[in-house]
Amino acid sequence: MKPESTHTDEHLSEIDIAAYIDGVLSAEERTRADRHLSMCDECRLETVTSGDAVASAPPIKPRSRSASLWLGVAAAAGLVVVAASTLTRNAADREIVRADSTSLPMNRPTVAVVTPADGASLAREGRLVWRSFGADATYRLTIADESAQPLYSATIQDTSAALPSSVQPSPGKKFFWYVDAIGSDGLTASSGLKSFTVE
Amino acid sequence: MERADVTGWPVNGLSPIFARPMAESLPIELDRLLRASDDVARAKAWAVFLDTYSRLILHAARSATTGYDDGMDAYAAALDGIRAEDYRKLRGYSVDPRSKFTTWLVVVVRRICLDKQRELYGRASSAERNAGVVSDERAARRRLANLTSAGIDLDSIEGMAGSAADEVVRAELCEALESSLNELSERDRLLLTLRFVDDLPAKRIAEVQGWPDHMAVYRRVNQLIAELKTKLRARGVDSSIP
Repeated sequence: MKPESTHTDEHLSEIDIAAYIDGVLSAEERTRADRHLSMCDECRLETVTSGDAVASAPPIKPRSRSASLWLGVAAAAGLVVVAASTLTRNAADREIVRADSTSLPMNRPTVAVVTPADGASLAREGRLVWRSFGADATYRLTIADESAQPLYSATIQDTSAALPSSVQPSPGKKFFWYVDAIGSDGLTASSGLKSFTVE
Repeated sequence: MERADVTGWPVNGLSPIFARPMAESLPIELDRLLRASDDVARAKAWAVFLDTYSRLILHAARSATTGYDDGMDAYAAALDGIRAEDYRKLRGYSVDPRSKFTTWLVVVVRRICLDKQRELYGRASSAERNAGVVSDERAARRRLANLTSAGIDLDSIEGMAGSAADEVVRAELCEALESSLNELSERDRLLLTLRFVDDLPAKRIAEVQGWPDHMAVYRRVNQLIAELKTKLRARGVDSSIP
């Protein structure tokens, strides 16, 4: 006869149950888990009902800046910057948000760019200008070349910046740029990825 | 938006940052909370974390309880549990982030709530456990009825008090069944447990065990029953009753 269902002290951990539900256990871990679940009513019930709760869970409300600040920090650290047209909002949930302002969610705060307009020309001595995100906000400006390699990144308090000479703005050269803002309340926003061509 | 053309980048344009394995990236709200260096930063980060995940936490807490008031009590207990010992449980996820954070959070919240209930009301009583035993007996009879031909009337065997010979037959049947079940893989054993002990419908079993669909579950169950019948016959179990 099947062993009497009993409570056992060696229940599956929360991590094990979550990994089981998501189907990310290794084959060996899965076999061990199946063995325990077939004998432990408590863990089996928890796994089944937790799986139901996960399946019926409400969606996570989008945040204003999750991925965009990641990009700014990554750029400053010398890592390769985001591709021109995509951002990952939350890597754990694998949700993709487009970086250009035309497709940012309508209810998500953004940093409004004043000049240059997206795709427009900019004089070599010109300035990148954006609207304030609020008093005491801090901005991280990032400029990348046409292959999205970061060339310049700086944290500033102002809402404008001149083209730094370090990016070597020669005529006809195209650049990508974006501004991430962090308000005094900790909330953030991004301009989304923009481009300009040096006159 | 013009796509940057960078040699070596993933075709879908994702930065290698975001193409990292899941284990290397935490939700930004969690990351900020765990990195907060002082009380002010921690309070702000907790507010942001709650703003993002409070609906999910409430949903998980309610799923572990019945009734509105119990659900709200459970929600409060869940928040206390998450914050306890400097967010020890959240730090646990950061050490082993195999699953999606939202899945893990649901499991953790539910467990906090269930542990709280056990603390208040105790584990299942002996009577309830005995009920489980009775249920197991019933499930076992169902399994045997499915596994052998319809000729065995197990209820009649159960009902025949004092029939030693029939008790022997029953014991032999159970032993043969148990031996046969032990030869199955862990996955197949769990499948049969979910189907015949827990009485879960095939669709739910498919979700729990990751079968392609409910038809795959039915097919496998039928396959297993056929295999078990063969094994039982090989052990001398047939449909005749003394």
